Amino acid sequence: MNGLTSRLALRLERYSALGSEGKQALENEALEVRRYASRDSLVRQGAPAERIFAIVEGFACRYKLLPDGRRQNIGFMLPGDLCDTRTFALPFMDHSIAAISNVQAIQLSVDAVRRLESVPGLAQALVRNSLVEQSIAREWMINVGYRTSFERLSHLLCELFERLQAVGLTRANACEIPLTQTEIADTLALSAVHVNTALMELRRSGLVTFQSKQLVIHDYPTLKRAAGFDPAYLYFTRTAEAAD
Amino acid sequence: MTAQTTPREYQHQLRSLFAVLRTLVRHTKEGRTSVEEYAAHLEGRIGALARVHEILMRAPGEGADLYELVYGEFISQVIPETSFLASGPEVRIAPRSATALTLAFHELTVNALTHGALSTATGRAEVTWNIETLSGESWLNLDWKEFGAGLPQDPLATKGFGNELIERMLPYELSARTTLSTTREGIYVQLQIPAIAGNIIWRHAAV
Repeated sequence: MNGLTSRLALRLERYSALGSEGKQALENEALEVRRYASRDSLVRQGAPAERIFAIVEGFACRYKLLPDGRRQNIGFMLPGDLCDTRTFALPFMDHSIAAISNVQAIQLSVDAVRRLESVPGLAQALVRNSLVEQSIAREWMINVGYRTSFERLSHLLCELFERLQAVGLTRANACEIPLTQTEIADTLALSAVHVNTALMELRRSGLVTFQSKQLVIHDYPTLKRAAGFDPAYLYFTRTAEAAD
Repeated sequence: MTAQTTPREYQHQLRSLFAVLRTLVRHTKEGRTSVEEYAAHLEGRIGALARVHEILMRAPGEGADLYELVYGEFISQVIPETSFLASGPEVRIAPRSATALTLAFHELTVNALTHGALSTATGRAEVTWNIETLSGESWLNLDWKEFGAGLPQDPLATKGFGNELIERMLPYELSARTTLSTTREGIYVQLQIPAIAGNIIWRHAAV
């Protein structure tokens, strides 16, 4: 397996076995790869969806622009993440995707996606991938609608840790999360001041340290309980071991 | 476009913000027939100013994404996605220049909504841009074009703040070459903005 599709394959294998045919098909379609500097757009709200993206490395985010210039982040795309494959069915994008850190992303045309969907080992994984994007969005709705600022932040950190762990980007209890406090604020529908307070509270409680983009989780079971975090909505049902 | 804002720079930014506000309050008087009309126009202009500041404050020193400036103005006026187009390469406008450009888009949009193409059911406004290199210098060619206004007469006959912005403020603030014309379709504005004119005006963000 080449380096470009290894994380995408790892991620999809959490849903179902891809087989060598599925992995080969992913490699065959990873022909166009682009690099984006931090803050560059992958696709813009209002533009037609001409291709979808699979993130090879870096963090990207989905966001909607608000009439007063603010934005609401509605999702993150981490290494191994692939856009909903049904995106092409709508005439234009209702949100933007932009690079947060430096990003490398595979570009997939509608034809490439159709070819992938016809590969037996991939079809089911791609459907699940699209459904999980929605499942995460539902969880985020609860996050910004129901949870306290401390819970929102804890929940987000748990989710990012789980998703990075699924593609081999954690070391023991640590991982890199290249988000600024402003970006976290736009994600959790909080002010930057609230985010700062919640971060200090998390540090004081001894659950996590989050400094210079390095997240270290000191007590994961307690953090999960504090956040009300149950990873079931990520549907990483197959274990990393089973995913050879 | 620097990464850090020192207190002195911050003070300078605040001063220029107040100066812009004064200008807005003064210029909005022109041609108004009621206090309500005056207040509505002033609020719209201050809203545009607040929006560009929101965008600039998110990543100080990065400049404003041109697409976000244009698209933001259209959605702030609740114009349907099918009635406008914003399209062009990834360009960042320097903070100093972003304010004048945003106010110009605001005036054009409001004008199109009241007199131009966006006042009709089927009219459209298109903002498109590209980058051109002319004898070693990079220029941003930015067009505002309306379609389907069906104008009986020149809607800019009363030379207002919009004209002032495009014909005087943009050449001054952005060193832009501007042409403004009216057709039956609506207003057509062409801007040519140099990348550097003493200071950086804009930069191409693509890698």
